[in-house]
Parts: sequence; structure tokens; C-alpha cells
Amino acid sequence: MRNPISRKEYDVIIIGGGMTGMGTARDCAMRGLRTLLVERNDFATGASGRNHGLLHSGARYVVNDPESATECIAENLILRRIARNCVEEHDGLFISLPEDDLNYQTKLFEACHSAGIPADIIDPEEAKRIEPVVNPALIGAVRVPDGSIDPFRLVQANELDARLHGADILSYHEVIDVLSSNGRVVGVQLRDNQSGDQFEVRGSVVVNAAGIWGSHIAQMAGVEVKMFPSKGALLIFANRVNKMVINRCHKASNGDILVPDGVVTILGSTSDRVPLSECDDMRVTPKEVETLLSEGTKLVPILASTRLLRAYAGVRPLVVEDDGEVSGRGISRGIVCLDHEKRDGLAGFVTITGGKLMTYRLMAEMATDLVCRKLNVKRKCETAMIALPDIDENPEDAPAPLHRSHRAAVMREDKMFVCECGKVTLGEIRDTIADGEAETLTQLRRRTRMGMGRCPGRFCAMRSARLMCSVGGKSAADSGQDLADFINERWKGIYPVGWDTTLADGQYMASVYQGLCGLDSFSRR
Amino acid sequence: MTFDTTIIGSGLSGLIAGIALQKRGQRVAIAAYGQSTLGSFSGSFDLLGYDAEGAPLSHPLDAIGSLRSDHPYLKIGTERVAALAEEAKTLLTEAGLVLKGDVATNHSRITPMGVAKPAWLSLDDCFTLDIDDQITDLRVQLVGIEGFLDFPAEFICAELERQGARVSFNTLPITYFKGKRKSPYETRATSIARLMDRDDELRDFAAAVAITAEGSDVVVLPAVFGLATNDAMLKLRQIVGKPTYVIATLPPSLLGARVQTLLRNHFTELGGTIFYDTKITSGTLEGDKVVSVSSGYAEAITASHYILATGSFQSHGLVAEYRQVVEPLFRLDVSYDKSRTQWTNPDLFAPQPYMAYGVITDARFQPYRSGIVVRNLYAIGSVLCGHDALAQADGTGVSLLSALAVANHICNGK
Repeated sequence: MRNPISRKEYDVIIIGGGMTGMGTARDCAMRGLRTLLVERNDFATGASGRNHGLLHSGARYVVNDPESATECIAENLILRRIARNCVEEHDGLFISLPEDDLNYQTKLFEACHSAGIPADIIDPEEAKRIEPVVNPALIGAVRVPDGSIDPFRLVQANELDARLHGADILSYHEVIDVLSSNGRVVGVQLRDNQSGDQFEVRGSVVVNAAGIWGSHIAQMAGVEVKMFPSKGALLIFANRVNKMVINRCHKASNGDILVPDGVVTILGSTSDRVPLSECDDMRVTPKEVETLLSEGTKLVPILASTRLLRAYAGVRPLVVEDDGEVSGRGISRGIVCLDHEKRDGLAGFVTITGGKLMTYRLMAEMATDLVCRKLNVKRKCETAMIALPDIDENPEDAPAPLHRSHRAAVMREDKMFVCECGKVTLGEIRDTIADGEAETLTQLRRRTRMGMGRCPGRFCAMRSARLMCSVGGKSAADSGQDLADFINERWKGIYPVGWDTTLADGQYMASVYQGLCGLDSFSRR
Repeated sequence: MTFDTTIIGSGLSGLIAGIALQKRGQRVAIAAYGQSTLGSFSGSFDLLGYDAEGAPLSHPLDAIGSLRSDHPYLKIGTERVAALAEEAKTLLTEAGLVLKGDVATNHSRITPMGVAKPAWLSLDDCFTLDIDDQITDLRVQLVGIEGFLDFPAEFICAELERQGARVSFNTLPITYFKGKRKSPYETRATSIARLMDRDDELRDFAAAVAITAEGSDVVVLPAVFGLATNDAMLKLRQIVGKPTYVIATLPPSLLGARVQTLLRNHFTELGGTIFYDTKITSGTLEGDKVVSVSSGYAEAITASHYILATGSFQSHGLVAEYRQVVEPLFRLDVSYDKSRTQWTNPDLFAPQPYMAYGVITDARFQPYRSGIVVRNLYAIGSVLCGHDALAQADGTGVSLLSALAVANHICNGK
């Protein structure tokens, strides 16, 4: 049977189900375009799901890259308005330590002022009062409107709104060729990565929003976009250590931002060029761990004795103009929106890349503006004005999951927790599986945050694997294999930080799943 | 407070050592703190389940000679292993455990995911098979409990069917739970077991099982019967009226809780002393002898002999610091790879080097401190180096046998 999607004609086909692609899909759909988004994997599996979760004020970039900083503060204020359920507003500090030059603080403060970022220099004593865990040796502090943002939920909210505006959104559909004719891109060749089926889809404009994988997409279209894969490693600590974001007040470097996210704390990051071939399986190295810890403990000394949960890494899709760059710290985090018609003589093809999680909406707006110009559509962008759907306000009518636990609590008798530390209920997991939104435990984790909490046992994974069988109709062999993969994937984040209680917890997890249950035999089949 | 022997740690090895010594007339104290790995007990004891390549072993004794040279069994000696294994079985039985299995031939325990794993002794409650048992066409009635998430019946069902059994699966409600369940804490194996220890609940439930199980050859349930004894299990079997077994659940393990209760009771009945909630935080040495241990709060405990039974990393008997692995109480010599990158394998299910890390001892399980034997100190169980309980399934065997070997050394050395 031919895929029904292939019979449709689209105005725009967006490649990439990360933050930028999903934001672009929302914008395009809101402007009335017939929109298709395709993602080869699950949504938010690239950099969108592997970052700091930091709602930048822009102060981080303000000294060296004021343009990005201005974009950040504008988007910061917009996101607080349109994505309230994804944002934690707690402000941030830029602290100077005795070895830091206080002139940098002055520079940062003045640059914030000219970029329109509200910033206050505060007394170190006051900083210790409002943020008791901060390194008491600090000699200066600037308070800025940093916050945290839940990127998984933000991607979901954009996906939901894009669908509500008529967009078709496909995960596990990989672009294997960009189709063109007479110097114009006319569509894409897709492969359904679950069934293996291949088919063509036609669209007037194709938007390449594939993050670091965008250079490969561009290559398929016959144009070159030189990317700089900049790996950023991060560590998750098992407690919410700090109340506010803590940044180091110096030229951007490694391990100098500490973000409180929900019940955990995230320390990051590093910046190193990696080969494109590594981007599909990022592993954190001992050296990265060491760098992060030695820098992080300067911000907050008690991190040295705080339990580590996991390490992970993502890849920033930076665009290179200078081949001499090694770390990527020197490359602008600015937005790159390429009209390949002007640049390469290839009509109907747009690349949107660079930028940041923070500026996804603006990136989407720029890409959509360009698409609209090409299609001669006049409608203005409204994504900064209209809030993303928030199920909290209207649980009954909500067609898809947001704040699922809330919905489950309203609608289900069964409020038992499957994941105790993440407070994910049985109803929520059951609905997510029953609605076909998660076919693997990793997808379930991204949808519900099951298994992302602090417990060492991760019994929630086994409980969920059962529901994959009983509710999702998966065979026990497949579900067992999936569970083995899931537990091993958790281990991938644990072993790079495998000492102290983290190793003890890892041993407990292995004792239960391998020793008691024999899960290893599912992984060997 | 002075004792003949003080044991630090009240897991399987500490309790068995305590019982063995107390039986021989010693005055023994056990300092108990935290949860032991009995909390995730499968219901079966293993002696040696797999060879170095991961192949299951039918005859564990035959494989002992080929173990790595620092394995605790080689300190005991191949011939003594069989004798101590028999002694362990006797002690466990005297403590009130009803066991099946013998040391010459492993049998298979069925895990919570339905997988067969080699075992030496199993609690009589447990669903086990002989290694060459065929279950083709065996009619199994698998029974779950409504709202109880920690018994992965779907997997058991599929695995037994893969072996040719004909399995039907039903979940039955517990009257008491109706409309009350809110958190999984209320429906842990041990909390359900507390209900099932009540005669009325058990009878209602067993009657429902009997009806469900009509037409089946064997009934298999989650291990939620009999916290302190196997009385509930016997009653259940009587009412169901056909072969009825349990399979372990996810932790907390009811079977582990029962083993712990029986061993603790037996130890105290023999006159032993347990200091509960006593975390020994320091040991005082004079020369090459321990003179006392202390929790820092209560009076120090002194003894002629001390036994370290503090377990592996998960029990904090070993601590992986950033650059080294240490035994935190006495700072004993520990065997481990010097580079942290070698501690773990990126594949969780591959043998993990850290599993075999532990305290280095001489042939009498006496540990070293800066290369010198501590003369009145012994180490037993998972704190010992040289064995991998996950890859080779020898954890409970090492705990039991090293405990008994040390008890013999202490008594014979007098």
C-alpha cells in the first residue's frame, strides 16, 4: 500500500524533528501552509534533547557576540510568555572568583545594558544570601534573568500546535534523497525506518532543519553547507543543588554553567570538534568528566560531594566560515538561514541552522519568512504572540499529551506511580502507549520522563516494559530486548561517571536486572 | 562490651558466620546497618552458575579448579568446598529454611523474567526445574495480583511458552486493596505479604487461585507468601490442592526478608547479640591487631576476633573514590585496576571488572593492611576480591562458604 502522505502536495517539507524543525512546522502551519515535517528518528533526539535546558538571558554571549545576546533576551521574554509550562523562572548569577578579572564583570554589565538585558551587579554577600551554595570565595556577582526550560516539553508543545494547525508530522521517516528538477528542489525521497518502505513526497519548498546532520541533507541536494560538529558534554547531579543558574563571569569556557532543572542539576559543558561520524553515538570521555568537575566545583564547591547521576553529550550544529577553528567557542552561536536559490542557484531549498535552543522560535520565523516569500504568502508570523497549547487550562479538549500526569490524575482512577521519583503515573504511561506515542521505552522516557529520576533501581523501566506488552501489544521477546537496550543506554550515561555512589547504584541496577532477572539473556538473542 | 567475635555486617555472610560461631560456643556480636543484598534475593543460592565464558554449569564442583587464581573458593580448596557447602545447607535448614537442591548438580531457578538460571539450593517455595527437565505441554497457571506491578508475568509467560509449556495467565484482586491503591509502596511484595499473612485474606485469595487453576498441572505465583516462615505457603498449597510455586518479584524480596528473619532469629536464639542500626565507622588498630570498632555514638565494641562482612560497592563495603578503590573501615589492601577507565565496561551485560574488586586476603581470609596481615581480622562475602557474582553466579556461595571457612579458622586457631 502506498503511504497516504505520498499522495499529498505540500507547500513546505521540513526535515528534522528537533526544536528548530518543530518550531518551523508550527510557524508554517500557523501561516496556512500545507506543512509536512519528517524526522528519521524520534523527536528531540539530537541536540534538542541533549543540552543544558538553559533559558539564556543572553549575558553568556553579550561580550563577544552581542547579536546572539540580543536575540537571546528577546526570545527569553517571548518564551516566558508563550511557553509558560516549559519554563522555570529563577534568574541566574554570573560570579567572579579571585582568579577572575573584575574588568570582565564591568564589561559584561555594560554590554548587558546596551543589549537590553536586565542586569544588576550585586554584592558578593548578597549573592551568598540568595544562592547559599555558591563558592563563598566569590568577589563579584551579576544577576541576570536566566532560567531553565524543558526542551522535551517545548518540542512536544510545538508539535501539538503544528498538528492542531493541520501539519503532518512524521517520526521515523528518513530523507534518503532530495529530489530536484531543472535547478529546483521538488520534494524528498523518504524511507519509513520502521517498515523499510520508501516513497516520494512532493513539496514546493524543502527546509533543511536537521541540525548537525544538515550538511548531509545539503549534500543530497547538491549544495555544500560546511558544518562544525561541536560536542558538548554535560553531567547530571542527583539533587537540585542551586536555586539559580550559576555562570562563571569570564570568557565562555568549559564547565562554567550550572543549571537547576526540576529535581536535578546540570553542569556543562565542553566544546570540542568531533568527526561527523561520531555524532550518532556520543559518549562522554573521562577527560571531559574531569574538566567539567574541576571547573564545576569552582562554581559550587559541594558539587564535589554531590551524587552524580549520569553524563551525556550533544552536538552543536555550528556553521564554519574559518577552517582554522578548533574548539568552536570562537564560532558565533548566531542564526544561519541560507536561501540556496540566491547562494547556489538551487530554488526551493532553505537551510536553517546555527543558533540555539533559545532562539529556535526566531530561527523558525526567519525560515518561514523566507519560505513565505518564495511562495508569495503574505501572512505575518504570530508565534511570538500566541501561546503554545497548555493542557493545564483545558484538560478535556486536549487532543495530545502535555502534562500527561495531570491529565491522568483527572481522568483515571489509577493514580499509582510507575516511576516514583519522576512521579509518572500508571494512567499516564498506559495512555502514552495506548495512543501509539511510544513504541520503545526510550520514546516513553522522552514523552513522560519515566526513568529520568534519581532512583538507582529503575524498576519503572520493568513496569513500563510490562505495559508495552499488555497495552502496546509488543511481544515479550521484543519488549525484553527493548528493556535490555534501555537499561544499557542508562549505563552509557553512568559508566563515564562510575565512581562513588554512582558506581554503587550501577551495581545495584545490574544486580537486579542481570543477576535477579536475567535480562542479559534478552540482549544476547 | 566485649565479645569473642564481632561481625561487621548482617547480610547473608555475616549472619551465617555468626550462627556458626555461636553454635560452637562463642559469644558473638553482629553490627547491623542498612539493607543487605538479601533485599534483591532470588529465592535461590548459587555456588557457581557459569564458567568463564558465560556457559551455564551443570556440575559446579568440577569447574572450581579452573577459576581465577584469587577466587575465594581456591583459598578454601576444591575438596573443602563440597564439605562446607553441605555444612551451609545444614545450618540454613537448622535455621528453618526449607530447601531443595544439592551441591553435585545445579538446577534451574526461574527468574522474574522467566529465564532459567543455574542454582545450587532453592527455597522450597520456588518454581525450579531440573537442568534437563522438559516442560513441553506442562499446563502452567500463572497468577498475578491486580495492581501489583513488580511481577513481570508477561515475560514469564512468554519464556515458559518458548520452552513448550502451555501457560494461561490471570490476575486476581486482593479484597483489601479495592479502591485504596495509590502508590507502589503499598503494593510492594513485602506489603502484600503482610496482608497474606492474615488468615482471612490468604484463604480468600487461595480459594480464587484454586478456581482459576482448574485444569492446570502447576500453579505459579509471585513470591508474596510468608514473610517470616513458609506457613502461608503451606496453607496456600493445601487450599489450591496442586503443585504450587512462587517466582521472585522485583525488590524488596519477600524471600530475602524471610531468610533474613529466620537467620537473625536463629542467631539470637543461639545467644548471639545483634546491634541494630549500628554503622561501624571506625576501627582501632594496635600494631597488626584490631582492638575495637565503634559507631562513634555508642560504646566501642571489643572482641578477640573481628569479621568484616560489609559487602561490595552497593552495600558500601567498598568505596570507589575518584581515583582509587578503598575499603573504608580499616583501609585494607584492595585489588583493583589502577586506571578508572578500566573499572567498567561500556556494555552493561559484559563482565564488569569492578565486580571482582575487593579486599585481598591470605588463604585463611585474613586481609592485609599495607602488605601486613591483620592478625585477628577476617573478611567474608562480597567484600572479597576475585569473584564476579553477576558473570559467574557465585555470590551467595562465596558468602556462605567464606563465612563457614572463617568460622572454622577462628575456632580451630584457638
